[in-house]
Amino acid sequence: MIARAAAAIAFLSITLLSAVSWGVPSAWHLVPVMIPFAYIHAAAHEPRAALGAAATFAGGVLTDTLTDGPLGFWALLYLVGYLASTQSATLVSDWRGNRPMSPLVAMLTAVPVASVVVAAIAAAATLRDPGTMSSGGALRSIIAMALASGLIGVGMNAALSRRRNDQAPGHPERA
Amino acid sequence: MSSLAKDRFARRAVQDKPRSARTSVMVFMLVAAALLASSQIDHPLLAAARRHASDLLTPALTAANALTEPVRALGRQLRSHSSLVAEVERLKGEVQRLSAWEARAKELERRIGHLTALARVVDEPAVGFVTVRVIVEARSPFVRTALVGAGRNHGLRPGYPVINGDGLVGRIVDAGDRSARLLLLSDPASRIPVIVGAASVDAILLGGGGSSARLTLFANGAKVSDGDEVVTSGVGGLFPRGLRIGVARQVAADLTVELYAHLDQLDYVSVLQFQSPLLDIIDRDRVAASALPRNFASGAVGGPGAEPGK
Repeated sequence: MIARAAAAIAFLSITLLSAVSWGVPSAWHLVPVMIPFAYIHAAAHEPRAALGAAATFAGGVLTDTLTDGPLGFWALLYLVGYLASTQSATLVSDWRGNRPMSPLVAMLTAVPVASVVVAAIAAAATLRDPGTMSSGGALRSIIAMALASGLIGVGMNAALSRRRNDQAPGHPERA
Repeated sequence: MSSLAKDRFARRAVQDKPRSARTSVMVFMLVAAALLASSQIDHPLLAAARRHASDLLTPALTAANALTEPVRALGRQLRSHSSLVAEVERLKGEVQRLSAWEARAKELERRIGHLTALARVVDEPAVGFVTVRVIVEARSPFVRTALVGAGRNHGLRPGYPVINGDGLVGRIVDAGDRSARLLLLSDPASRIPVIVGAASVDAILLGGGGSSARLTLFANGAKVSDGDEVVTSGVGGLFPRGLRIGVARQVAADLTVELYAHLDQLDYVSVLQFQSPLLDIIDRDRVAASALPRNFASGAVGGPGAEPGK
């Protein structure tokens, strides 16, 4: 329960951070947008992380509120990312077993997931105004999400390992 | 519980995770789709709820903005370093050009002062302004807006024009007590009456969704050249006349405007407290909409805020 709440708070904080002004040029504007997707992806690949669909949905509604767009749009996209990430995580766990996440695997599997997400965003953008997303912008977004997934994976791994060590029976604090 | 049992429990939970995750994600996807459909109705309650949420989140957003400040500062430094030599050369040329213009401007100022006194022109009231910080840049396929960390408590009202050091940025479309939302010039819903070039050709500036905007001319056959300056015309009374916007560019068959303001790198902006008779009409609807939930909640019917006619 506490792990779920912690994962949800971390995700909502990252969502909030991705929405604030980063001062990036318009050609790179999708890069901060991909950070919550990277967190969703990294969390899906970490068996000890407990980010649920409810927190993902709440993060999407928060983004919708902050961006003043149609309510449910980012929530739907985050859930598409969540679904794609959990599917890729299932494939990876079938192959590797239930070992702790490897940031490298999270980074590599982020590429197809990011492609699905970017395609969904591009489809929505095209409905509104054709030609608003360049292929360069799409590629930058995919690379950004892959790199961010790897970095978040390293951080998540370190944080969860430290917590596990703290809770180990032989740890001085517990003794 | 032993470590072995804990591991077994964790493994089982992991094995069950994909199945339960798929079911819950489908449920939430349906909820999101329902929300998406309901948001098309654009109910005032929804708008009021968003406004209150933005107000509530403003302190957290301001704190988050402070965290990202080093990244923005680094970006600014990189940009200025990369273009420093070219910028110095450009400024040298501009100083020379402007020195010639200074004498001409002083002469014109003297003449205008003289003619104004002769014609007994009524002075326009000075426009006050409030400088505020952009805390959220909203870039989605549907909207180009920004949220600033000041609202009605700081004298901001829907309808006020917003500028920065480069030119016009947009206008306020919604204001809560502690936050306000700007509709940027590039938003597809943005429409601004402008004049183009020395011939003052009337046109409408349409948001293009990207970093530029498009022009639609009123008169067929009106001539607009590449590089003509675009400024607000003041028609409609919502914007003062003469606010700088950008320069016209001919791209294939379309007339676009290269905006002076860098809308993707907004930091501080100034809200002009331009008093227009239209403000009351715009604001009355907003106030009425935001008063709805309070009246419903208290059970009051026909409160002063809920009656647009009064």
